[in-house]
Amino acid sequence: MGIETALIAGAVASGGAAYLDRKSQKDAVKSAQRQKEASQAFIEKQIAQARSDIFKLFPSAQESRKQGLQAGLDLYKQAYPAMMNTFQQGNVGAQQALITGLPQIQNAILGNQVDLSGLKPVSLQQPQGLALPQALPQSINELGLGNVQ
Amino acid sequence: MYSNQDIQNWFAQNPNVPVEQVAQIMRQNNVTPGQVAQATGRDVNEVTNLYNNALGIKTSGLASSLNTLQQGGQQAAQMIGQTQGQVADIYKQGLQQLAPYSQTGTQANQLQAALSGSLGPEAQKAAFQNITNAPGVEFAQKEAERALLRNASATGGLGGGNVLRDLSQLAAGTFLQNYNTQFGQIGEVANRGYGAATTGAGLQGQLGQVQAGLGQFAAGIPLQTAGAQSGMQFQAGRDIGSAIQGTTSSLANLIQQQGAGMTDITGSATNNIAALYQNAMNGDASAKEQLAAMLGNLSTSNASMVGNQPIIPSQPSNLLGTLGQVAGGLGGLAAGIGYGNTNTPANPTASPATSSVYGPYNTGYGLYGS
Repeated sequence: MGIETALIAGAVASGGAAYLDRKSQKDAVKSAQRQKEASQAFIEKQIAQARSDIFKLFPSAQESRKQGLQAGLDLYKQAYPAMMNTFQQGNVGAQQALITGLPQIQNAILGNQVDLSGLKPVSLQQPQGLALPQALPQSINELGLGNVQ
Repeated sequence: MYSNQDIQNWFAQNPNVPVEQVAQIMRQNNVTPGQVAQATGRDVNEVTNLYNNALGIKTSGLASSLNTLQQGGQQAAQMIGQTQGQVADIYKQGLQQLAPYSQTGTQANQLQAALSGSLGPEAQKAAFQNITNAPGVEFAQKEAERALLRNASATGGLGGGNVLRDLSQLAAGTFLQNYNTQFGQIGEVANRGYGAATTGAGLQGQLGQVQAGLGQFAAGIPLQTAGAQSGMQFQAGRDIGSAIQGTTSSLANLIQQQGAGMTDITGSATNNIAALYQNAMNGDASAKEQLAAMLGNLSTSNASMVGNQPIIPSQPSNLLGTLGQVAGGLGGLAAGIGYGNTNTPANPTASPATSSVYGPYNTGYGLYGS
C-alpha cells in the first residue's frame, strides 16, 4: 500500500512538474519575444534617427557648399571689373603721360616754350563697388546641429 | 652800323645803365653781344648770356640755335665789312701818300713829252717858253750875263762887238745847259712818278685781292649759315621723329601689355571660377558618395543587427511530449497502483534560448542586462 501511494504520488508529482515546466517555458519565450521586439524597435528607431539626422544635415552641407561657391562667384563678379578697371587705368594713364609728354619734347627740340604742367603723379582710383566679405557665410556658422535630436 | 668807338663812347657816357636797359637799347639799335664784347673786351659768352637773360631769350632748342647762328652770321658779315673798310682805308692812305709823286710824275712826263716835241710844235713851244721863263733859268742867265759884263768892264771892252757876241753865245749856251738840266730833272720826276704809280697800282692790286678774299669769305657766310641752319633743322626733324617713334613704340607696347594683362586677368578669373565649379561639383559628388555610403552602412548595420537578433523558439510545440510526460506520470500512477511500473519520468529539456531570461540576446548591454 505504501508503494502504491508513493507511485501515485510520484506520478502526480511528475505530471504536475511537467505542466509547470511547460508554463515556465512559455513565459520565458514570451519575455524573450518582447525583449526582441523592443530591441528591434530600438534599433529601427536609432536607424531612423540616424537617417533623419543625415537627411537633415545633408541639405545643410549642400547649402554651405552652395553658399561658399556663390560667395566666391559673387566676389569674382565684383572683383573682375574692378581688376580690369584698375589695370586699364594704369595702362591708359601711362599712355596719356606719353601723349602729354610728346609735344613738350617737340617744343624742347624746337626751342619753343615747354609746358611741363601736364606731367604730374597720378593716383589711381580705388576699385569701386568691390564689397569684400566681412564674415563667413551664415550656413558655416550654423550647422544645424541644434536641430538634431 | 656802330663802330667799336661808338659803343665805347656810349658806355662811357652811360656808366650806370642797368643790364636790361642796355640789352633793350642793343636790340633797338641792332647791336649784337659780339659787337659789345669786341668793343668792351669782355668775353662774348658772358655778354651773350647777360643779353639773353635780360631779354628772356631762350638759349636752348632749335629756335635759339638758329637765332645764335644768324646773329653769328650777321656779326661775321659786319666784322668782315669792317675789315674791308679798314683794309681799304690803309691802302687808301698808302695811295694818298704816293699820289703827289704820281701826279708830279705825270706832269713831268707830260712836260718832257712836250719838250721832246711828241705832243706837237705848239706844246713844244709852250714848253720851251716855260723853260725860258723859268725863274731858275732866268736867274742863271742874268748871273752869267752879269759875270760877262763885269769881266768886259774890267777889261775895257764893254761896248765892243765881242761883248755882244759873247752875250749871245752865253745866252744860247746857258739856255741849252739849263734845258738839258731841266729835261733831266723832269725825267727824274717823271720816273719817280712812274715808280709811285707802279707802287700804287701794286697796292691797288693787293687791295683788290684782299677785298676779293674778304668778299669771297663773306659770301661764304650765308652759305655756311644756311648749311648749318639746314643741318640743325634736319637734326631737329630727326629728333622729333625719333621722339614720335619712341612714344609710338611705347604706346604700342602699353596697348599690347593692356591686352595681354586683361587676357591674363580674364584667364586667371576663368580658371579660378572653373576651379570653384570643379571643387563644388567634386565636393557635391563626394558628399553624395559619403551620404550613400552612410545610408548603405546604416542599412547594412540595421540588417546586421536585426539579423543578429537571437532566434527565439516558438511556443513549446512538444505538447505531445508534455502529454507524454503527463501520460508517463499517469502510467507510473497506474504502475504504482497495479502493475508496479518503475520507469523514470522524462526529464524535460529546456530550450537554450530560455536558458536565461536576463540575457537572451547576449548583448551584455545594461539596457538588456540585469
